[in-house]
Amino acid sequence: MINIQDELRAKAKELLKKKKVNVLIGYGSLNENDLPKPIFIREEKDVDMLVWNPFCINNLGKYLLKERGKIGIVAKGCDVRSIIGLIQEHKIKRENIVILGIRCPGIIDIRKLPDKGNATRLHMERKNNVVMVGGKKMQFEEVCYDKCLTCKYPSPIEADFRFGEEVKARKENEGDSVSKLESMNIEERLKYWDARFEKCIRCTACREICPFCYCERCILDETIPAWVSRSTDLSDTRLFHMIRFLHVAGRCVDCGECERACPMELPLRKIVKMIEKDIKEMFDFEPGTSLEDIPVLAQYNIEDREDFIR
Amino acid sequence: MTEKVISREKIQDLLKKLGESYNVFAPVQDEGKVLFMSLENSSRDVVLEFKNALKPPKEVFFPQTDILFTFMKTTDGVRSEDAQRKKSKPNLIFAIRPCDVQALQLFDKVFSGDYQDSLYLERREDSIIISMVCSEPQETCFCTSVGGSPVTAEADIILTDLGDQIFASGLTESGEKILEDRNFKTATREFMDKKKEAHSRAEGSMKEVFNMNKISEIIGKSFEKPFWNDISRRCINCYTCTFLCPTCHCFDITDVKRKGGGERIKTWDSCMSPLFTLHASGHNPRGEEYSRWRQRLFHKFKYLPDNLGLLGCVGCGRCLDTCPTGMDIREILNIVISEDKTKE
Repeated sequence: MINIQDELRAKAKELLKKKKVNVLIGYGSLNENDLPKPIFIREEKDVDMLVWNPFCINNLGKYLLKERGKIGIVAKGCDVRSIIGLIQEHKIKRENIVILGIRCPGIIDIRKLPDKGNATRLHMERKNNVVMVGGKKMQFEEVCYDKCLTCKYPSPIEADFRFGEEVKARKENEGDSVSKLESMNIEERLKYWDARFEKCIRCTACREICPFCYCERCILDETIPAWVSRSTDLSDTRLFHMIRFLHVAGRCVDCGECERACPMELPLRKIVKMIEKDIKEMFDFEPGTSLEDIPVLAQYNIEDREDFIR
Repeated sequence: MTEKVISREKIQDLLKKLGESYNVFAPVQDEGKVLFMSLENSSRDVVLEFKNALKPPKEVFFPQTDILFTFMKTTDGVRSEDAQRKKSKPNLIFAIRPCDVQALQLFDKVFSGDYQDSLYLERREDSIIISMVCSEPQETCFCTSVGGSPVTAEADIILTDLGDQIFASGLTESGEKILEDRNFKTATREFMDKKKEAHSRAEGSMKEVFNMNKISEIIGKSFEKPFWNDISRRCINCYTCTFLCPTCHCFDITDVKRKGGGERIKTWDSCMSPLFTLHASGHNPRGEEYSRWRQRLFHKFKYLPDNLGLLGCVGCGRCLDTCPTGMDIREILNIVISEDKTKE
């Protein structure tokens, strides 16, 4: 772990010094007690703020749209897929970014630690698959993000520099959450989601954190007319989420940021997984896996299924 | 001041009885989260072992969506009707933390100032506040830095968790009346000592995270400083911090179409959204993201103290705990304070 951090800092220093990038987006902490946060390094002297540890969860790809010029970015395997997506959608140019790709063995979900890890975080050690939390041994699988359990692309598909040891892809087996929902009938499903959407406070964190929610005008914000009301009435909240998810269908790479950002802890990745499955079955497409791909809903293939058009 | 104790297992019974005369809101478990919910028509168990609720109970008096009136098309035009607000029982909030009680004092001033907000005042009328001392403040708590305390509150009753027994101090007439219930026993010296100990332990665990001295003045001078863009860079402008803030009280009034007519509704609004200040002309005085963060700080630490004499922050730490990008109001305030020193 320490190796990766040192290597990252050295590379960042070099890139800034040689003016290969004018900003480097990475993870940083002011002091070691802090959880890592997104930081923007513009000068060599600030490079020592850069960290890498098993809490670096944010998908920094979102910030590529905020910066100008040559941008360096630290990205995990999952994050790289969303960067590929943004390049496919011509939001950024490949030649304008330098990807410092990290082969990521998985990230720890502080919500799964006792007391959000406030007391124990600092004394945490990780050896292979065992994590020591406050003197207690825990399996990594118990404390990592759900998405890491089934990560197919822990090593960046696209990168200019790669850090860390090769990590084996995990077996795709998210079947459980999807098949459980699929086996429900419409009424049961509605009941399941209503019980959760009822808690939604419409803070829009899911939208703002999403690398693919970059529209300058969003239908959810329109006021004349207000297509979706600000009311937290279930009918409006359902619509809010349905619209957002339909707009990222075929683009979403399951970086899991919507679910992580949600303060009310709504299980939004369940929807992500269902959409992912549909896109795979209908169009045999997996978003963000190749720079050469054209986004699936931007291409037309004579063999595309049409049986859903009625 | 009446001082009593109640055994832990009697709490459910007490709440059931209080439920006869009040609409009781209490902390309950919901899929691993702790939220304040009405116990009316609910079979959920109340939890007392919690640090703080994910969402402050401000919505008891200031719900996220409030219907002002409804309107519908009729054969001879449009008819409007005030929203049905049956004045049922007064509200009671059980086990609300001292920081959240402090926030209600600000709400009272805001909603009964130049304009008497009847929606708020009706819900607040005759309400009972039973607060619960924070025996174990969280790492993210900083109430003592903003003039609060983990062990005192302007409530009707304040409880202290002593394990098997809960210590209860009646602070108002209505609070003392509740303590007359036979579930409460007179507090012995032993319990009083234990309570004292718990209080000093809680107070001792709090650190001062910034110095509030002349904060309004310091903030006031920082408006044109160049650092705002830098320090708010990672903020994505979602509304989590404002919606989960116990003192944030801004709202919007809009119309929503419903079958055969519509509703005029009042909903929480957030200064983090560009829509908050978007003019009809298309101009937006706070179009830049950093200016919205600056506004949030100015409102809490300058405008509210200047106008109402109260800070707009009670140190509950929810904003920094739930921020998806790790924005930390303590850190930002400290930057503003230290920049002020270096520039002079």
